Amino acid sequence: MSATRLSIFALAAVSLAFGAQAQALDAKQTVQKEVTVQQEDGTTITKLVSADLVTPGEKIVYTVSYTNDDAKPATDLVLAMPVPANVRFQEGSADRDGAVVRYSTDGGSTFSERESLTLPTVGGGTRSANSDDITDIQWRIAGPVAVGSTDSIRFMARLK
Amino acid sequence: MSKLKLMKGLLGASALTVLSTGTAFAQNNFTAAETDVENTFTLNYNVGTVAQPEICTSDDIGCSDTPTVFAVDRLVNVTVAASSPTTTVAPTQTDAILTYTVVNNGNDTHAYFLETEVVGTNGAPLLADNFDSVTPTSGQAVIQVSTDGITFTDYDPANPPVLAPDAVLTVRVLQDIPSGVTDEQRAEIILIADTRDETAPFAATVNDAGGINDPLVTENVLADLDGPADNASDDLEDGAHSALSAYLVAAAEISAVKTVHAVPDDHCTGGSDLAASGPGAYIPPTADDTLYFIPGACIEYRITVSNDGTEAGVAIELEDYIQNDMQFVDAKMYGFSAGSIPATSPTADYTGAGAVCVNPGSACEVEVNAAVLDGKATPAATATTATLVIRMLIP
Repeated sequence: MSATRLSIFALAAVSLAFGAQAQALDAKQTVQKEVTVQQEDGTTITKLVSADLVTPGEKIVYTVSYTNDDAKPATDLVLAMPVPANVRFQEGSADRDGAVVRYSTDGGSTFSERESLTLPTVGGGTRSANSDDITDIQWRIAGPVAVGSTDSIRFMARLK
Repeated sequence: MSKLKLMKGLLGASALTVLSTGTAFAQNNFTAAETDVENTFTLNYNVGTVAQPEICTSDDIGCSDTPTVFAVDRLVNVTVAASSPTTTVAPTQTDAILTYTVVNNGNDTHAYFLETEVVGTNGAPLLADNFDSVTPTSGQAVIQVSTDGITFTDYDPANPPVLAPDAVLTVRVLQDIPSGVTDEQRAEIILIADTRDETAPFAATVNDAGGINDPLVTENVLADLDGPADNASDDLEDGAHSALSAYLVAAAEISAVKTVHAVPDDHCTGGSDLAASGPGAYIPPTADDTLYFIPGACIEYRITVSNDGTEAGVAIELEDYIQNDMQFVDAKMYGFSAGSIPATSPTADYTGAGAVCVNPGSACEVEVNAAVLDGKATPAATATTATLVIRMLIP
């Protein structure tokens, strides 16, 4: 394959902003990757950079950030994100204080807590779901999201 | 340092595309380059007790925007490995083979240019090279390739092998081994595989990492390691990788020493008491330094053959002419793993033990035929030895 860069999409934006409808919350999703950088003093740090260059094995971070632009607090948030088939969910990366996190193995039809997430087996029994089985993640946040405040939810996954 | 580029394969080979691999190599099963990875979300919430319209990103009707997308970039990572660190060869051996594997550990299909580097007599800093092998006189191509490890075709730089992700190419390098090389000498050869575009003109892969990149464009990320080849041919993250293998000479190094000893007379009188010939070491009679080489003395010649090589010495022939007027008693061989003293030895002038040699230098001799002396178990071991023992009386 030529090193020439290929234009695949006319759209180049990764970060999507919402504001077409009058919404109390303004929410957007971003995708980044985690990189390890060596500093001048020899120590290393990890940081998030834009997912401009991503190859198999790298750690991807999906984030949904939301801001309450309304005049009243928002409550009872239910946020759901699928886990793309080309990535493997990183266990524990979706955990967040103040949120009940549940997982799905059936494309988001049903959700369960991680410990009780199972799949049927051929013999009629069940087995514990592994990272590859997780198709969707759901966060339930009672709130409130105060007027003018911003928060975010994220999970990590490795590109297969 | 003598560093030569070996002649590459002959032209005319057919196209070679490897789509799958053998089972001996782990499968990466990487996400293919140019794959679009999409993600979406839905967000539901209340303001007070009133449910608000769902915020969503997808292509579905009612959602206000398209999914988040990035394109998987092209991981370029070729791995070359030698099937064995060394291959044992003999002096003057032709078409001696070194075998390597080339694995596409990336996520896209590529063509691969192959070439060899020979580390010369002077040696490279990290290597232990002693001699140069040479292009086969048989006319066989220096580089041959195979998708199944069984059927090989000549490498054709105008039509290089093409490997799908995870595919394995078996490469063998053929060389002749010159005469004059000795046991444990090495000729080292580095095979280099360079990642190229899948189709002609097979342009080199260029690293896009470090530049300005676009999440929606598939770009090259070179991730190959630095192999033993010269950095001009193979460096870190340059699309090429290399591995070293070596011809290791295994040769017999035969030498022989003849000594003479006077042993007590009773080892000759009344017939010989030499044990039967066999593979075990010879145990000589107890030494007696008071004995003289005088008429009537029992004399023992010992021809000690040594092999200081790791390869067996075969077809060893010994001929020992017996001094005129000596009276032959017996001859036996010890320590050889094969070979024999002919029933007619010593030859014509003798009618059996006790006869006197009257025609030395022509037919009056003791022979050992087709003897084999095993090589050393390891290069560091001491030489193996075997002994031909001849007893006779001084008349």
